[in-house]
Amino acid sequence: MGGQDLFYVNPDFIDTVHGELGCITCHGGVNVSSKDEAHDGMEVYPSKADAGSLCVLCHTEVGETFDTAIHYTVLGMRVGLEEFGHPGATTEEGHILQEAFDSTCYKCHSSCGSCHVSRPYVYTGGLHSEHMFTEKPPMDETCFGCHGARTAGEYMGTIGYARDVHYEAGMDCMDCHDVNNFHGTGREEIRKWDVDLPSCMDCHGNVYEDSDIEAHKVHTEDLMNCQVCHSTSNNNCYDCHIQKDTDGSLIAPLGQSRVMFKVALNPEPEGRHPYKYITVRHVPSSSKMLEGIGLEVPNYDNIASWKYSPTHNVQRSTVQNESCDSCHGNEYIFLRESDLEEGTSQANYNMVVSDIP
Amino acid sequence: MAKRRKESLVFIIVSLAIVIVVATLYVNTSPVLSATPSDGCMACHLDADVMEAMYDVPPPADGPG
Repeated sequence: MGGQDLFYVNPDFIDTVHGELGCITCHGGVNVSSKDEAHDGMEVYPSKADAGSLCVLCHTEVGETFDTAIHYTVLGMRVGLEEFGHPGATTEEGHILQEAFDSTCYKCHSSCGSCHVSRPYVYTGGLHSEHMFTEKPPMDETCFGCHGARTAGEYMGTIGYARDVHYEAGMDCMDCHDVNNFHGTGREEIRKWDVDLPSCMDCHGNVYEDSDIEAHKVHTEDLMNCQVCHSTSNNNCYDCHIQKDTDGSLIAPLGQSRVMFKVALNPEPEGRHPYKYITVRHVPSSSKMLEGIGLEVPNYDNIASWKYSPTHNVQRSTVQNESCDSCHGNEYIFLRESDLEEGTSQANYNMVVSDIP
Repeated sequence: MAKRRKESLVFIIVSLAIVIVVATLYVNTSPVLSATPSDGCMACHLDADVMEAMYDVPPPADGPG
């Protein structure tokens, strides 16, 4: 991949509604052909300010919801980090956690252009379709850019051992995820679970009542999520921490990751996720993750580092659904105390399956 | 005479209404943003070879999420 792939503009773009406006209308800069002079005062991402206020001048209906959409606010990451004992710190001017959040987590914040025109900033940036605006963004150039290390990577088979059957059938993220999962609904979305996420049953119907498959009949709807039987190993991250780079900037280097499959007890069964058993993954939190910037994580033991994971590498046949005995009595697929790392959060113990079903 | 005055009044009101409707439609459909000459930018960005030579692209990495 070179500059041609990311910064070349297709001549056909000039005749589109957006192209007719000219580059400078959105990007600013100067109308000369000298690079440095032309780029003086230029805005690379013209839609990033104020929930895409530039785009909203015409796309008013998106503007009504996007400023509370979790892809724009990244509130899930912000609230998740603050819950470790630093409420309000990521927005407190001058706080070290604000600087850390803005220089790491916040890079995944989406604007209109970072899906419809360009690749995400954290994923090289640049254009994905020669500046042609795409109503349906290309999954591998956009979603994968931010979600590639786990969900999208597992879906596409770049992480783990199997691609999702839906991916193999030619489906992309937007075939299941409604547009309001990206543009918001107008309600404030604090966590991803606040989003109206798709359910397997949206397409497959009520498999517990209508299926002829015996296993669907004996396992009730509130016993486990579909992925307990129908997904494979996912990516589990450890040791993420914030530290200062040699130039003083704050970075979050990747820690260890392990590909494995674990089923745990659901510590808080509730309406949306009533299951007793859930597929889980380890998220990259640790008791020392903020040590590099001189902060402790006082609530570390109250927050589980194993989380419910509707793993996105769904298979019809898996190791654990081959027979009853493939799962029942198979201690290797359940989260055991021996799976918890040294110094693990105390909250993780609520998820350990002591009595293997 | 009175009938002619009444017809004129109707004519004026109808004409005024048409002008208002047309003006409203024009305002609602006219572009919010106006075009800015950008041929200087295009001179380079429409040339694939220039773009290839001009930019060093950072290596892509799997996203963090």
